[in-house]
Amino acid sequence: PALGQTTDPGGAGTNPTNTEATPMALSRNPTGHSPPAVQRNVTLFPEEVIATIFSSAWWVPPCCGTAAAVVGLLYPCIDSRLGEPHKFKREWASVMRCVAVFVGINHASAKLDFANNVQLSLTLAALSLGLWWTFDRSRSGLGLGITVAFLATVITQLLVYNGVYQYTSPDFLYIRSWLPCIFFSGGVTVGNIGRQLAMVRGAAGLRMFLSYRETRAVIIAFPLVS
Amino acid sequence: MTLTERLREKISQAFYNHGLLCASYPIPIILFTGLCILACCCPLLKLPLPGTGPVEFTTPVKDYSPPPAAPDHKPGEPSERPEWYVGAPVAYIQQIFVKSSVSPWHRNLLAVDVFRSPLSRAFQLVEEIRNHVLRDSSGTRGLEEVCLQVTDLLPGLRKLRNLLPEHGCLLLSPGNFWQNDRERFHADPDIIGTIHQHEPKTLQTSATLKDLLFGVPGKYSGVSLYTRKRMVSYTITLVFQRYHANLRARLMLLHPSPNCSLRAESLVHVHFKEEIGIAELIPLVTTYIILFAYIYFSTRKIDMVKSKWGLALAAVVTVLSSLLMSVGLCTLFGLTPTLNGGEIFPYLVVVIGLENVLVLTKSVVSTPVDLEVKLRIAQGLSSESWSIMKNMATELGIILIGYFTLVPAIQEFCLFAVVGLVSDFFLQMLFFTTVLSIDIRRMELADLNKRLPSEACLPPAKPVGRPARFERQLAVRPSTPHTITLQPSSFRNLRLPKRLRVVYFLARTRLAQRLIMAGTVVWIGILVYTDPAGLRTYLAAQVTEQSPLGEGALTPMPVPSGVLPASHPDPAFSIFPPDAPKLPENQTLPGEPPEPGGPAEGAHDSPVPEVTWGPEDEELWRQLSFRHWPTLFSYYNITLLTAPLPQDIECLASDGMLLVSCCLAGHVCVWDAQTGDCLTRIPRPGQRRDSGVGSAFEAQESWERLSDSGKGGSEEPGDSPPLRHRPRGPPPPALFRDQPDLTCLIDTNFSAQPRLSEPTQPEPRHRAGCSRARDGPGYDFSRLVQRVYQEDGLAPSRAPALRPASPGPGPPLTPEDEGGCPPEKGSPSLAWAPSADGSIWSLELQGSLIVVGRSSGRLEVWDAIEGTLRCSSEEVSSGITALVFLDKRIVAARLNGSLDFFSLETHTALSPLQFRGTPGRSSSPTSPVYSSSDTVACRLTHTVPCAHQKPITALKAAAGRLVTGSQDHTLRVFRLEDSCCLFTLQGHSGAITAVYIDQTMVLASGGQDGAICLWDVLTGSRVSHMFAHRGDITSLTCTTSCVISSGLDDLISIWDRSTGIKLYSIQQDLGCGASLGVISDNLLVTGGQGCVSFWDLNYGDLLQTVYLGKNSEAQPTRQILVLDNAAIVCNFGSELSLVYVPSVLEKLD
Repeated sequence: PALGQTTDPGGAGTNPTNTEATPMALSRNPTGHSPPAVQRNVTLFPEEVIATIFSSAWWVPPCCGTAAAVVGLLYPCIDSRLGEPHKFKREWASVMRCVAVFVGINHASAKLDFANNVQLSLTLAALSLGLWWTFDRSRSGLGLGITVAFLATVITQLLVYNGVYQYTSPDFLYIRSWLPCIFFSGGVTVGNIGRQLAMVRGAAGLRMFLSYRETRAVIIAFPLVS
Repeated sequence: MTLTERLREKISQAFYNHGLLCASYPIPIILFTGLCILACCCPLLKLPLPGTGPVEFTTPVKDYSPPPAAPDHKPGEPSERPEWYVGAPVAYIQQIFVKSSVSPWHRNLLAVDVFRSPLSRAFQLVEEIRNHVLRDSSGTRGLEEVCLQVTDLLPGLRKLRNLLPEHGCLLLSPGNFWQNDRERFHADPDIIGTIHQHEPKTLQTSATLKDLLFGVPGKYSGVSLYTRKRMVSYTITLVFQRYHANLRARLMLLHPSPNCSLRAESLVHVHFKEEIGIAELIPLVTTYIILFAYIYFSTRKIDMVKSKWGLALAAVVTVLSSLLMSVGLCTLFGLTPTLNGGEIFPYLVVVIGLENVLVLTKSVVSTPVDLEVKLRIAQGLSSESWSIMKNMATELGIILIGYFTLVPAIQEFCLFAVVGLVSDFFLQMLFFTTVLSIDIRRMELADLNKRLPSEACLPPAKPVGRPARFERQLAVRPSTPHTITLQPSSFRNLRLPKRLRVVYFLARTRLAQRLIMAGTVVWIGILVYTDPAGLRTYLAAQVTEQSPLGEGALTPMPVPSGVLPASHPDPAFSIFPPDAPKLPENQTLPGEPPEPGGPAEGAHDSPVPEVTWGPEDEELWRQLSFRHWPTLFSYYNITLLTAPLPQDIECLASDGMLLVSCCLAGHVCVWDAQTGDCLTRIPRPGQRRDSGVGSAFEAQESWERLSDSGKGGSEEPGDSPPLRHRPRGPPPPALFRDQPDLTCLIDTNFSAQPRLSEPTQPEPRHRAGCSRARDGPGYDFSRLVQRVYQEDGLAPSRAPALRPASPGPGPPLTPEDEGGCPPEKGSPSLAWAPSADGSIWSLELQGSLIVVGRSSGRLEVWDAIEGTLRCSSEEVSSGITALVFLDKRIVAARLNGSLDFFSLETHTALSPLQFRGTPGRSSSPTSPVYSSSDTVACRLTHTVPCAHQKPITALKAAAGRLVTGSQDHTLRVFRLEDSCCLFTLQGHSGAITAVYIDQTMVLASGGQDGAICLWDVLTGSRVSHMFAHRGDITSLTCTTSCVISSGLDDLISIWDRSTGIKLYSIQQDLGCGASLGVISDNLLVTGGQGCVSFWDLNYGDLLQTVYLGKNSEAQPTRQILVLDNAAIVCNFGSELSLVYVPSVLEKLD
């Protein structure tokens, strides 16, 4: 929704018309994340809130969720292909911390007032790299994250180009310039979850599958939240 | 040896020594740490609770002027003014603080005397204030003209009617308990009882009536039989519309205080924050869930210790208190937190993290068990010292990088995080390590104890109480050489009685703890949800106030009566409309100077009581008032919220084609009466309208409506017996069978936003309306016109509903109102008059013009379709309570009893578009159409300055006559053409509440005395007089043969018009008394709880009851408006329902 308004100086928090414009369907990120464009001045009408949540096209949340699950699967697969299992901070507490930081990055991108788009993008890029360094530190993770961010950005550009949806104020070709950073950190986070799930010992295929379904549910929840 | 290694060794050594120290003197160290935490947190006491309270901003009272409507500083440039300090405030509040006590105090005085005489001073003060005349450059004005005028209380608050002011100044004092009547006060045998009459029995967090009227927190008021100090304090609260300084000066003059030194005067602006919506809560809740998951996963790893829970608690306490210390330290050094604490808190916790704590625990428990505790701690610490230091350095580095992003919010966050990290390190080293050492020591002791008694005589009761112990021992067993053998569980079960096994089971599953936890969570949830002072009162408004004045002790001045009022006018506050963030300004009103000390007369020789004015008194109002104002204002349906709750509909008007609704906050909505689509939405002035998206967009927004607290639409909570009616004759048996099923005809339930859900009736046009409203910007007018054409056959009779057909000379006009308007271009650019403030008190609609009467006394004419302001009158001090818009004449009745006659002049440039009415339409009476190309001018033709002594409450016009009803118990009849007063009708013994006049010159009136009078308009004589209801008459209407009245007693009575005999009465649902409408001469419709009922007027039979959807189940019907096309509009408070009644019904009899 208010993707276009997130960088609106002074307008992010208080603009009473900062609700979502349905026609301006925002493009959701294929990996299932978009900044929690927190809206203010929304009434407490439950129906309205629900309408706001589901205001994007119906297929966006499932697609984002599926994409996130795929990325989450890719990480442990690549790890095992390369033969270098990820050992760094492999515990659930760390994963939750990673998720929290990711949500925080989204939060910041949606709510903070930045002087301009360049500053916003640079800050987010730094934060994303910090996220990778804090929780991943593997070359495969970095590579895969960059690949995911690149692919997702290209896909979004294509979608916007073909008019499937659009951003209110694009500043990087057809999309917002901070989108790749969000994609990158989203990829790293999802990969982190995926690796942790893959750690579960003695899990046969079925159990793996179930775990991934669970992850997917979590991931699907993200676009809803935002 | 490299530098790193040496450093490493040094650190390791230091940690070792530190560990020894901690383990040796645990208690002193913990005490020391606790003191440190407290010391660092004490600056927090001065901080307002994050997010829950109003924000204050103080400006000097000198040269005060309201802040400009738009922020004058550039966006980038920092300003010392808070962001919300723009636009005029909602109100200015001035409080006169009175502190008094009885002197000298005789033994033989009763306990009640402590406050009887002090309280009686309030009456005198109120009188002084009321009689005060304000002088300024524009002349002299009475208090009534400058104070904030309020209208009715909300319908739900009928029981407070006698206690809170209505239709007048908002002036509160303890005297309100006795209706400001001194005699009543003196006659009251039980003062305490009167005061506490309305106190809620249960615990209540919001303001009670006593709090509101006394203006100070209950325990400070001193009105209690158990008070020791015999000191009574209260305030007189006065709410102004504009800032006026000289009341204060006068009060100081009246009550001089020789030794009260005035402090610098200032206004305090109070801003009530907006409420948090669900949409905003979802991310917040998510982050908190993640936070808890993080804490859970972290502390789960604590293992091999004596008490897992204890250590987990210690870890969480470490992080939390380090955060508190961080905020406290930052505040101490002058940094004021601007971020929303609740929002960033989870992130701070995650950034600081529990990792170090876990690492410490792990390394300590992995040291050899047979070592001494001290040594274990020291070893554990030193072995992890390097990694801890390294991690901390890394984190500090990362955060410092964040500090250089130069984004203020991030910088603040980083600052907090850095300080938090450092204090967290401090706490880990001192607090957590010590707790850990205690825990390890306890474990060792426990192990020793275990080893001594043989394992066989393990008392069976013990494991029950401490199930955790077993687990721990199991866990410990592999690592400890001295094993305690536990019986296999099966064996144990054999020996235990059943009862114990159940207890075991409970203990194992920790059922009790979980239940308690769940209960606590639910309880907290309920608290948060219901507590108005908590989350939900994140409210709204800015108030300015003048700082407390006089400091220092007041001279005790005994008054002859023994009462010593040390009245202290407190600050004036202005409450700002929080509404549009950009617009509102705060304006402050200088408070009055303290007028300390009562009049000193006749000194007593006995010791005078110590009435002092201390700093604690100055803080008094702060403790209470700010939080209570939203409550007070909400009683009058004035919202201080930025994001208000859905408000009730205040006024409804319709001319058959369009339906206009508005709320007191000033939002006006125009609906298509045929389809229920929202055509235009006129937000309250000052709110920015996003023209780019258009009306469809705004329809999704929060919607404010007002209750019909206005004229006549009142209801009263009374008993609600089931529906009953008294049929006068035998009901025709076939009647019910013949009834068409109305349910399918419920057309559209249009609440604030067009919903996606299907309307009840699957008629294509309605759905089209709904969906279009969602996705199309602007309003496609041509479709409406087409639709109207299609419907033409359906609704043949098209007489304007509210307009008595007065075939005035007018230009040839199209019958179709909307036809005159060109299609909207999608982005109407609206020009909002900046001064157009004040809530809407009255509303009329004719053609495509809406006439709006505001509380500020302004009359505005709006274009209904385009939402543009066509013209407006100049501002007059007195609000417009009622309006009549007839033909080209507008009559406005004002609060001060005057009548203004306006004439509307249009310079018509008729376009061909206006004549697109079909021939079938032209049979209906013509109505003036004002196309947007016209220029409309509103000219004041005549003013009757003092039509009534008191506010005019009812205004009706028909047949060339205008009837006014007023609170002064009289009615007046005017001729419309020359505004000449024909008669003054006297006969009521209470204020007039309802008036009816129709084409046939029948005039009926109802008053607060519950009486209905019928008058002859030609002679001015009273035809009949009936005592109809207990309580006010709320609405009144007539048919050719009968008079229908409704009253506050929720009864609808039907009277024979010629004889004045009551035919029968209908008991209404609670709160639905005023909702009635006459569809035809023999069909009456009344509202109920979520339903409408149709009655046969001749016989008093219930024909049918139609339930309108599930949502409105609980909502009483407040108001029913009958449109001419056999449709009725029901006002369910925050929702409107449009119900089509087929014309079949009219042919019923």
